[in-house]
Order: sequence, then C-alpha cells, then structure tokens
Amino acid sequence: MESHEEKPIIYTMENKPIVTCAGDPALFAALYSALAQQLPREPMEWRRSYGRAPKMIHLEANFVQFKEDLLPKEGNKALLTFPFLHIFWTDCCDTEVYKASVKEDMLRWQTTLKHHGSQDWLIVVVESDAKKKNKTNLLPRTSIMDKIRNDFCNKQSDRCVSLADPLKESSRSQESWSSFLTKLRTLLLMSFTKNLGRFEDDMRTMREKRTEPGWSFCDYFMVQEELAFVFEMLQQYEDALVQYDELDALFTQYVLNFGAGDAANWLGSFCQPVRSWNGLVLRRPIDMEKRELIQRSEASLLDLRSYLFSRQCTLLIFLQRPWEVTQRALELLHNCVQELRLLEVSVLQGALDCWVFLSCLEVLHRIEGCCDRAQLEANCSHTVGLWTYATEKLKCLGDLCGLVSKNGPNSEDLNRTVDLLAGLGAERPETANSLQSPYKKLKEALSSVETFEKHYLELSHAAMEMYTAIGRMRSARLVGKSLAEFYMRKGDPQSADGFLQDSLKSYVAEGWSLQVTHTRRQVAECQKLLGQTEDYLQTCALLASDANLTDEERKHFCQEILNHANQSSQTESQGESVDQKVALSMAAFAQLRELRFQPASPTVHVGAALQLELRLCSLMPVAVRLEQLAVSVHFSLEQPGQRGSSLSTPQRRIPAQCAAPGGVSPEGAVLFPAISPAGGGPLGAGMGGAGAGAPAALELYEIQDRSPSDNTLNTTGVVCKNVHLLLRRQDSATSLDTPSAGGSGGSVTSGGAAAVAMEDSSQMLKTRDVTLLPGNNSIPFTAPSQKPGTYTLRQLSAMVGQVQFVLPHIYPTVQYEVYSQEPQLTIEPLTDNLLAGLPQKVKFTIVTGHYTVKKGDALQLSNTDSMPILHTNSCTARIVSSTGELVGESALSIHSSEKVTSISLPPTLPYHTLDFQLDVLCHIPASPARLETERLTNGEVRHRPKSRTRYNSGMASVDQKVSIDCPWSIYSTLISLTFYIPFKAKHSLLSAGKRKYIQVCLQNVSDTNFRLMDPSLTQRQQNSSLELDSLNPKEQQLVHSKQSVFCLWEVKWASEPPACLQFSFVASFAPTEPADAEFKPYCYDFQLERVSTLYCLRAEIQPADGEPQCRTGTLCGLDVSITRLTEPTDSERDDEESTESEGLRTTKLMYEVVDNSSNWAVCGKSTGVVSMPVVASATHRVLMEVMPLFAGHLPFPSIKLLKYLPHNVTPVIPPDTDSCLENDNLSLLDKGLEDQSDTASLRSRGSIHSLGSSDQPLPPASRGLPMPRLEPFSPGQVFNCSQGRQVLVLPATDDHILEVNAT
Amino acid sequence: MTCLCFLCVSRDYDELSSIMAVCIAVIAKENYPLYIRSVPTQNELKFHYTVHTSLDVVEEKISSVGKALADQRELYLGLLYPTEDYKVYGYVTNSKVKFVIVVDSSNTSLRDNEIRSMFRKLHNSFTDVMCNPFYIPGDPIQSKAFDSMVSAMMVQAC
Amino acid sequence: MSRQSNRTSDSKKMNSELFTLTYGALVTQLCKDYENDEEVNKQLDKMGYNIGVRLIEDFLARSSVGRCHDFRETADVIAKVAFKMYLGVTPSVTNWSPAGDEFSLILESNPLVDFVELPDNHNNLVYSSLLCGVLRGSLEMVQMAVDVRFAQDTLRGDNVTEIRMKFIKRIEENLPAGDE
Repeated sequence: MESHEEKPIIYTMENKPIVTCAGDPALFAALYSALAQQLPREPMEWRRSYGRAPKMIHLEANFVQFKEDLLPKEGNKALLTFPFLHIFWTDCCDTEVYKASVKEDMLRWQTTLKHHGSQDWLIVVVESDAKKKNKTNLLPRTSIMDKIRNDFCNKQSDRCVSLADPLKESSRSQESWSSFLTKLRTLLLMSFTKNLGRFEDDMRTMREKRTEPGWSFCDYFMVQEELAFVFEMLQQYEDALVQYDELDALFTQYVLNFGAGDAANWLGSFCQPVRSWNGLVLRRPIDMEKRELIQRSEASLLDLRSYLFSRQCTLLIFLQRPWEVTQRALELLHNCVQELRLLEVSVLQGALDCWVFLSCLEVLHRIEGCCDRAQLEANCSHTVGLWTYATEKLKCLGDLCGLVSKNGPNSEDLNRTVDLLAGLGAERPETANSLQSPYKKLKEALSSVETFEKHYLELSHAAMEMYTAIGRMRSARLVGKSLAEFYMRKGDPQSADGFLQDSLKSYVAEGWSLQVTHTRRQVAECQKLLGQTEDYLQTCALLASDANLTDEERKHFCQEILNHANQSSQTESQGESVDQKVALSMAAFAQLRELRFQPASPTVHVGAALQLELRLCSLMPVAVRLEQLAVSVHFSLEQPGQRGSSLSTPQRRIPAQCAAPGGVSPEGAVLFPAISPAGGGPLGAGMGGAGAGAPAALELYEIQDRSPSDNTLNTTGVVCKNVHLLLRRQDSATSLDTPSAGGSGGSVTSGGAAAVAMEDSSQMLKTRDVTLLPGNNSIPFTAPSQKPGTYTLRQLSAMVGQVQFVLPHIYPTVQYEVYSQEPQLTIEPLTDNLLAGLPQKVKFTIVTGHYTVKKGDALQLSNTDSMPILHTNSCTARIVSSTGELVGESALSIHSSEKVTSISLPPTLPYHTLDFQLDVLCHIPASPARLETERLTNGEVRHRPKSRTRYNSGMASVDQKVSIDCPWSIYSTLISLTFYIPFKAKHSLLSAGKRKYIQVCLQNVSDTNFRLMDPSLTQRQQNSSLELDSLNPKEQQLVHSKQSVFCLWEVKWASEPPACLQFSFVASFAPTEPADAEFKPYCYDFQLERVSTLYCLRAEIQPADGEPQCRTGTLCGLDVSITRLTEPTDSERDDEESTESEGLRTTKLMYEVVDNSSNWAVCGKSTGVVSMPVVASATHRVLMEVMPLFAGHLPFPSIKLLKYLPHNVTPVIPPDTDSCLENDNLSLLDKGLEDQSDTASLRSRGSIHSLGSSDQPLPPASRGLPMPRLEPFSPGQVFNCSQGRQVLVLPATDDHILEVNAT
Repeated sequence: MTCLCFLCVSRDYDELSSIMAVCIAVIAKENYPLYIRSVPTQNELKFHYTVHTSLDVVEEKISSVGKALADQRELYLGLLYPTEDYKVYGYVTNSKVKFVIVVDSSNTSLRDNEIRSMFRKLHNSFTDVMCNPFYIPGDPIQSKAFDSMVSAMMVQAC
Repeated sequence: MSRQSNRTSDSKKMNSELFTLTYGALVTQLCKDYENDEEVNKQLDKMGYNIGVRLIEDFLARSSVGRCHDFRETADVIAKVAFKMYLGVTPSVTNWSPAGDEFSLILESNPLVDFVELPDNHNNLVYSSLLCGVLRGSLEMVQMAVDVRFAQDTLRGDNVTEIRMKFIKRIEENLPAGDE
C-alpha cells in the first residue's frame, strides 16, 4: 500500500472520508469550496447495524479527482483510503454533446466502478441558465436527465440528481442545492453503513479464524485498528475506543491462555526478550514507530501494550476522561509486569522498574498537560497511585544500583546502571527540550547518590502530601515508613525517627500488633543509633515482652536491658557517672496482678505483723534478678477521735475501702486489671491487642457540696477517679522522664518516680534480691505498722542494676489501716438470762489493746454477799490473738477474801483477747419487797389492777453491781448483772366451814425446767397450838417452764390462833439439767390474818307459795340466815365495835345481795343492816324477794357480809384499811357499775344506788368526820355455805320461748 | 462491551486454578483486626500492612457512598486498590465491620462475582460467630467454624 | 407460649435465632454468675425442671394425647409430639435397654446450639441440660420419675446429640411436686 508511504499524513486527525469526482473538473472546481463547507452544516442521523444506537453525525468529505488507482484493489483492507462515494459531474444540456462525449466518459467511469464493484456513485447534472442562453436548439432539460437515467441508473433513478445553477441566489437554486446536500449525505451514510458493515463482517470472520495456525494477531490488530481510525475520523471516539478495548481484551485473554498452557504460535514475537524500556509515549496522537513494529509483527509485548495504551489514552482525552487514563494506566502497568512474568519474558533486572517509572511520569505529565491545577488537586486520588508506584519503582532502582547504601554504588552497580540506561535509548524528540521529562529525571536519578536522593525524596513527599490531602493517612504513613527505612539505610536515624514514631503511634492506636512489633523494632534500632538510652531500653522492654517475636529476639532485647544495667553499674562501681539510672515504665516489664493481705483484713493494730503478698507477672522471656523490689507507701496520720471504739471500726472501714473499685476482697486480695502491652503504647497502658481502640473507661463520680446549715446545693461536679490512667496514655513517659534526682540520694524510689514519691520515702516495703521468673511470681512483704494511721501504696519499683522499672500508680488504690486500741473488760452472761438462786456462768473478756498484761496483774472484784463468786477449781483462761487463733490457755488462780475476789491474769501480749468463765450465784432475796400479800376469799384470788412495771418477761429481776479494778486503769469499772428469779409464789387460804387450808402456788416463770423437792410450810413466830399437816407428795416433782405446782396444808389449832399468822414456805429446787445439780432453797414468806371463821352464811330460795318449782318471772323468797359460829375472842373486842343493849352485846353487820350475772332481779331492799348478838350460834334471818329472769339451774345471787361501823365511834384504823377501802368498796362499787351496764333490772340498779348512798359518807370519813363506815371481814372470817349452789327455775307456763341460761 | 462475550473462551481454565484469596481479614468498626489470616507461605507482615492501608480506601468509599446514597444496600466495595502483586477487595457490613480479601494479581480467574460470593460467605460465617453466645463482640475471632470456612477460601499451601 | 382459649396444636411462629440467642444469653449469664460448670448445669437443669412442671399442662392441653400405657409409648410421644411441638425437631428413639426402661433420643440437630461453639474453658458445661430438666419435670407431673442426661453432644464434637432417659419409678399420687 504505497499510498501510505507517500502520504502518511492521512494518519493525522484531519483526514475525512474520500469522495472522488469525475466528469467536468472545471464545473466541480467551481462548486468545490461551497460543497466542502456546506456538507457538515447539518447533522445526519446514522442508523447503525448490529443494533448499535443511531448517532447524529456531521459529515465531512475530502473531495479528490477520480483516479482509477484510488479504487481499492482486491484484499486491501485499508479503510481510510477507501473512496466512499464517486460523483460524476456534468452540465451538458444538449443531446448532441451528450451523445458525442459525455456518455462515453460516463460509460468508462461506470465500468471502472463496476469493475471494482463499487455501487456508491452519483451523477450530478448541473444546469445553468448561462449555458442555455447561447444554446438555440434546445431540448427540454429533462430529456437529458431521462437519457442519463435510462442509460445508467436503470433501476436506481435516485442516483442521478440535477442541481439548478447553484451559484445563483435564487430560492429555486437554494432549494435544489440543499436537497442535493441531503442526497449527498444520505448516500455517504449508506455507503458507510454498507462498507463498514462489510468490513466488520470480514473482520469478524478473520477473528473467528484466530485459533487456526497461520493467524496473526498483529494483522488482525491492523484491521481492527483501521476500523477504529474510521470511527475516529467520524469523531465516533467511543466506538474507536471500543475497538482498542476489544483488541486489548483479546490480547490479554491470549496471554492468560498462554500462561494457562495453550501456546498461540503468534505470541512468540511478544515473548522476545525486552530490549528497550523507554516507557509510554503519550504525546503523539499515533506512535508510528511502534505501529510499524506491530505491523511487521516485530513488536515486543511492551511495544504493543504501550501503543495500545497511547491510542486509548488519546481517545480518552478526546472524550474528556483524563482520570480514567490514570486508572487504566495503573492497571496497565501492573498488568504488563504480570504478563511479562506469565510469559517468562526475559527482562534485564530493573528494566521493568525503569519502564514503569517512566510510564508513570509520562502519564502524569500527559494528564497535567490537559488539566489545570484545580482539576489536578481535586483529583489527587486518581493520580496518587501513579506517584507512589513511581516512588516504589525508583526505590527499587536505587537499591538495585546501590544508590541507597551509605557508601555509594560499587562497580557492578555502575555496570548495571549503564545497562539500564542503555535500554532507555535516546530521548525522544518531543521531550528533548523540556527540562522535566521523565527520561531526564530517570537518567539524573540514576546518575548519582545525591540526585537519586533528591528525586526520591521529591517523589515520596509528593505522594505523602497527596495522601494527606485526600485523608489517606495510613497510606501516607506507609510511604513515610519506607522513607524512614531509606533514611536508616543512609544512616540518618535523626530523620527516620519522626516517621517511625508517627506510624508506630497510629498502629498502636488502631491495635495492629504485628505492625506495632515490626515498627517498634525499627524504632529500637533508630533509638539505639540516636543513643536515646532511656527510650531505647523502654522499647526493648516492650519488645522483650512482645509475644509476636520469637524467643531469641525477645531474649536479645531482654539482654540489651540487662547489659545496660550491668555495664552502667560497673561504671558506677568505678565511682563515676552515678546518674546512669534509667527509670522505665513497669508496664512492659511486668504486670502487677494481685496484692494479697495476710491477715485478710487490711486493718491491723499497731505493731501487728501484716504480710503483703505481691503477685507480679513478669513478661520477660528469661528470669531477671532484681536487686530490689520496693513499694513506696504514703502514710497519713489517723485523725484523733476518728476511731471511737476501735473494735467496731475495722468492720466499718473495709467496705469504705471497697468503695474504691477493685477494693480489698474478703480474702484480702486486690486484683488488678490485666493489661497486655503487646499492642500497647509506649507505656503499654491499657492497650489490649483486641481491646485496642477502646481506652480504659472513665470512672466518674458525682460530687455535691451542700451547705451544712440548710441542705441547699452549693456546688456540684464530677470527679474522674482514674485520671492518672487516662492521662498516662497521652503524656507517655512524663512521669518517668523526670531526671534521676535520686541518683545522688541513692534511694530507689527517688529514681524515676521522684516527683511522686518524695513526700516520704521513709515508709517503704522492700525486698532485696528477688528473681522474677517468666510468668507469675509472688513476692512477700512485711508492711510497716509502727504508727497508727492509713498507709496507701503508691508506687512499685523494681531495680535491675541501674535500670529501674516503675509502676507510677498502683491503681485501684490499695491501703491498709493501723490503729491503736484501749484495753477493755466486758462481762457477759453465757445464758441469755441469769437465774438467781442457781450458780450461773459469766464470761469475762479482756481485750488487751495496747496494754501488756504482766505477771501478777489481777482483777479485783468487790464482793457482795448477795452474789458470791463461786470457786471452781477448773477455771482456765483462753488467750486469743487478734487474728483469732488460740495462743494459749492457762489456769486462773482466784483468791477471795470476804471483801474482794482477785483473779490473777496470765501474762498476755497486746492486742490479744483473754477470756475466761466464772460461776456466780445470786441469792434469791428472802421475801422480795415487791411480792404483794394477796388478799383472798375462798379460792378466788383478787389481783390489784396496778401493772407490775418492774416485771420483765414475767420474772422478777435482781440487779447486781460488781465493781472491778483493772490493772491498766486507776478507776474501777462498775458492771451490773441482772439476775432473774425463776419462781413466783402465791398463797391462798381455803376454808371449809371451820376447817382451814393453806395453798401455795409456785409458778416456774423461767425457761428452764426444775425439780422440786420437799416443800415445807413453817410458821414463823412459834405457836405451838397451830399445826400444819402437809397434803403434798413426798417425792420430787418436775416443774417445767411456765408451769405451776400447788402445795396444800391443812391448818389445825387447839386454841384460838392469833389474829395474824406468819408463814414461810420453803422448797428446794434444782434444774433438771444436769441431773446432779445440787438443790437450792427457794423460800417465800407470807402472812395471814384472822383465819378463823366468824360467821356462816346460808341462803335458801323457796318457790312462790303453792308452786313446786320456781318459775321465771315469778317472785321467789330468798331466805338468808347469818349464824355466829364462835364466841367473841378478846382480840375481837378491841377491833370490833360492839354495842351493849339490854345486856346483850351486838355488832352491826351489813348484808348485800348482788347478782352479777343478772339472773335475778332483787325486789325490794337488796342491802340491809342487821345487828348480831356476839354469841356463838346466834342466827339472824333475812327474807327478801327475788325474781329469776331466766329458766334453768340458776346460781344463787351472791351475798356479801360486811362490818357496819356507825358514825359515833372513832375507829382505830387497821393497818390495811386503806387497802380495804380502795380495794373492797371501790371494787364493789365499780363491779356494780359494770353490772348496771349489762343488767336490765331497774331494781338491781336501784339497789346499787342505795348502796351508793350508803357509800356516800365514806370519803368524809377519811377526812375524819364521824360517818358510818363499812369494813370487810378479813379472808376466811365469813364462810358462805351456799356458795355455788343452784336452784332449778322452770320457764313461765305461758312462755312460748324457752330461755335456757347456762351458767 | 457487547462484543466481549466471545472472550469467555477460557473460563474452563478457572476450574484448574484452585487459587483463591491469599489473605482474609475481618476488621472491627474501630479499625482493629478481629481476624486476619494469610497464606502461610507468604510474608504475613506484608499482608497486614496491605490490609491496614486498604482501610484508607474503605473509609473513603464508605464516606462517599454515605454522601451519595445513604440507603445504599450495596455492602460490596469492589476493588479497593490494585498493587503489582495483589488485588485488594473490600466489603463493609452496615455495622461498619469491614471484610478485606486479598487476591493474587496473577489470579485473573476471580471475577467480581466470585469475590462477591466469597464476601457473602464470609459475612454469613461472621454472623454465625456473632451469634455464638460465648463470643464477646469486639474480641478477636477464635472459631473453628470460621477458620475452616476461611481456609476453604484460601489457597492451600503447596 | 400463646394462651389461646382452646389450645390448638398450631403453635405461633417464633424466630429461631431469637430463641437460640435468648437461651445462649441465659447460659452465658449463668456461666458468669457461677464460676464452675457443674453448678451451671445444675441451675439449667433446675430451670428446666420448673419449665417442665408447667409446660406439661400446656402440652397435654394442646396435644390431646391420653395417658401412656408404657414407657415406649411415652418415648414416642416425647419424640414425635413434644419435641416436634416445642423445638420443631423430631428426634429418633433408639438404644432401648433390654429391660425397656432406658432409651436414647437422637437429635440430628439441636436448635438450642445453633451458632454455639464451646470455648475451651467450659469443658464440663452441658450446654443444653435445660432439656433434661424439662423432660424430668414434665414427666414427674405425670407420675414418672426419670433420669435424663446427655450421652452425646454435637458441641463436644460428637456427630449427633443423644439424650439418655432412664425410667426410675412411678410416683404415687399425693406426692406434692412443686418447684425445687
């Protein structure tokens, strides 16, 4: 295809589809320009084959003179040179001329076209009036057209158009002109569609053959590219691009298949070794050299790829898609590298790097060429990839050519460099004169160490800036790291440090342990070079404890620390440079896991032994020997008065302590949160590999300050309890960077943590020569406890030679209390109540506190005879230490004189407890004053309404005061013990006619059961005439708790007994448990008065006359007879007022009939006064009427008999009159009132009134005015025979309701 | 590209290549690794760096997606970035847990669909891990089931 | 459990994940509260028992099964009706002891243990021992004292889950069986 060679110009962008013109050249020439410019005016819709979307396109054409050789020969696939349309121009208008010449030409033209099989032709007949002028013999113009049509376009009449003289401005010409243009366009497009369609079909068929042997990719490439060109020519860049992409994909696929094993023979050319690597060329629209290489199938893979990409690039830029270029570029470069590997193409080492490097920069330049700054900056994200890629590649080249090593490149490096440069060939013309061409850059970079560094730094920084700009910090740091590595290799740790620290921080922050480890190692190296000993050792510690490293590595770093420690300690031993001390954070070295107090309660008394066990988990790979392990303690004196009773306080304070999180557990252990420094920061504070992102949680507490006066809120706020933890992670080593002030002082705490622990380094827990094995170690300490106060553990520091590991804060706070305590004596009963009358055990407890019980110290108990201390030979004291274990026992010696009992105490150490038990006995007071004499009538005992306030649980109590002199104080302690009397006794006098019985009721009010033995009743003042014979069993009796025993005696007398008899009841009792308990006496004294019976009352109830039985509602007779039983005794004379009447001494009695149960209505007087003669068997009868209110067996109404003393006498008041007054009358009165409330009987109420009236005068009597007075008989003086008798009462006959009263 | 269909001549080679992911990582919302495992034969550290760096792009994509269409259901982030040797793909759950799969560049058999399905598998398996009552969210994943699933996705060291 | 008036056997749908997770949460909480696994197993069993003594009523109500004539029938009811109804699985009844007083329920899948992987520090934990309690409790309410234990457990790597049930004795009426 020579035409190419002679005019390669057609491969510029300016080419247009070719249209040939035959016929009259002059005519065409006249029209050419107008045509050329008017054709593209209007777009034309192009309908495409293969369902591709129709496009509007502006057609242009390149009109050329028709030559036969323009027509494509067989098999020529060139499209650009292909004439799409052939036009024959003529303006002849008379048949002669036509027949003569024009027809011939047309025929020839036609045949040539036919011969070349081209259908796309058009005949234009231009008619101009000018011509017509001089023509005389005119044929109608149409006839010419017709002729032509007939001759040539037999079927397609549209192939012939007439153009009415176009150079005229007439509307007619305009019209024909435009219609002509349209025709032209249509025909062009038809031709395109036809020819391109045919072309594509051919192309496809060609492609289908690609598996056949002879097939060549390059040829195919050329063909399809031709298509691409045409599309490009038609400005259909999309379609053009598609062509290239297809080629690209096709090729890629082939390479892959090749890699996968099927060798396409044509690939051979691409597998040839790479000889030139001068990067992409994107400045030319078409890189002819490479294209020809491809055409000659001599292109290497890189050539092909480069060419392909350059074309794609061009088109993309036409399409305004620069960023796609960069992206595709990156893919391309990666892809090429891969493909070369895949095809095992032999490449000079570093050649590819050069190629990639150049290409990256080329692309970047190209892009910069077609975008403005703003755009570029907005799209860093697209370009940065190329920048970094270039940077990496340059780095590789640097390494390869020995440009990074400290001492420049050696000879073979240089040779390599030369070879590489050789592969670049000469710089291309178009960049030759630009200063910053990639080519120049590369050459320069490889030329010398300095220039390399310059360019490398330039690139790296550019990349980093872009990354930072678009917020890809991680990527930026990665570049930074490689930069750091570069610096390190150049022996410039100073510059490296920053980058390393920066990235280390970020990795730590995000908890990527592997990176952390890796970076940290580099940091270590860097720090070592920089001689930052402290930091270096710190890093070493972290690395030594890093699980990601192998044991060897860890050992190595551990060794580094130890080496430093020893070396500097040696220098110190030589007496120089003492300030070698280095303080490091303990976090990386070992972790405090647990603190355990022994004894468990962290509150001890002064001088007590408090053990503190430290559980330390060493993270070092090897055993490390510590010269010293120390805990600095902060001591705060206890405020006076803070500790009231020192015994109770410990229990109170421990919880208070636990309030601090992770406080002392009941077992006395404080647990510390385990933190793994693996992913840890410079201090490894709270950085779990996983828990990384999350910092230690804030412990916030609300504080409210209220004014004491009116609880109003003054201020409120929030306190963070673990500030140090949180702050510590930020200012990594501040607490440690403090200059080793202690170096001079030499004290250990003053090492790193001087600032913190200075306040008192006197208080310290120390142990020397500890060896920490890897893993958990437990180290015991003895805590100081000389002074009372609060001891807070502040810092933990481990010392290895000159290196010292410090845990600046022990958190959660751990503290223990030391208190001092006064000695104390307490006495408490063993049983809940002490019982009087029996030996009881009492426990003496002495808490020695700070006092030491020396030999000979004794307790002096002042005796009271009511409570003797019983000597029990087996009385031993237990001595218990403060921690509660038994220290010793020793027998007590008790000496007692009549005044004091002294108990000599065994020697006892301070803060011990001494306890022993003693038996004491409290005698039951003979007749307790408060035991009241019971007044009683037959059987029933009347209680006074007064409540017995001094009774406690029904038991009478006796308080015993004991004063004790303790050896430790000059004051004697007064202790009172309360004893309870186990029994309560009651007596009563029972009468049967004249016979008398005494009953004593003994009630066991205690909780213990007793055995009771021989109860006896004796008269106190001896009166022989009186004899008591017991009706009680002889044997023992059991009295269970809350039970009572009754004892009975019959009283007999020969001669009249004295008015007042005094008895004392004695029984001996013993607790049922133990069986051998000895019996103790219980005695109860009481007295009885006027025991003998004076009067006998007898009542009878007769039914109404003629009635066999009483009936309800009918009156019955109540016949009361009072009989005097005894002669008056002289005792009677003085106390009983009697009147002489006709020689008969009488006494006035008042009777009273009361019915409590309102069974009876007493009709008429219910009370009356009778005068009785004072002689034996004198009888007085009273008759009255009562009416039964109910049917049934009704008890008799009760009848009382009282002495009636008329006013005219001034009576001698018997000792217990007041009692009798208040007792009987009132009780009688209010009994009446009670009845009144429930009885319906007016009468009975009336009777009360009458009684009341009779009572009226009483109070004045007490005032000494003469008034009649009532006086009761003392118990037993009146015997009521009909007591408790009943009478049958029948219901009234007419009663239809039967009322039965059950009483 | 309508005409690319013909390129599928060599899909059958994929079956031959058992090559799958070379590194698989699960990264917590806070960007620390919950799980990261790579082909034993190759330099683990390198993968860690790669994965970590890829987070840049992940975040970029997440935020851009967030801006563009908030209710975007698409969890697959596609190719994060290619390097000469590896292709790094990303996937983010709505709980902002990230999955990263690194594939060997030479391995072109893996097309988007395969990667997607790998991620889907990964996601399901991860969900199961989360549902294990004994697993404490935020802790590194130590689950046999998950392990085996991952190793199934990874090239066998041979 | 849905308290519809007449307990038809169509039980309400419930999301199985929620169910599984709920149980999981329960177990793990127990593990936190009682350090040792044995104690946890006991607690689970106890809870199960308390569920059982209630659930049996519901079961009898919605599945109108009459009283079983022998242990084999009971086994079938448990497997085919009860498990189906409450866990949606139908274990197979096998390994009858010659005396016919002991058999195994083989669960191919145990809905309680989906997703669950026992960590190494819980070797003695019988994760699903709640089931034992439920069986024990509910059978006790129908006067059957049984001993239920896990013979195999997929969580421990066995390929099926096997619950072994042993009949101990009939409980006479008037024995009050309340919550433990």
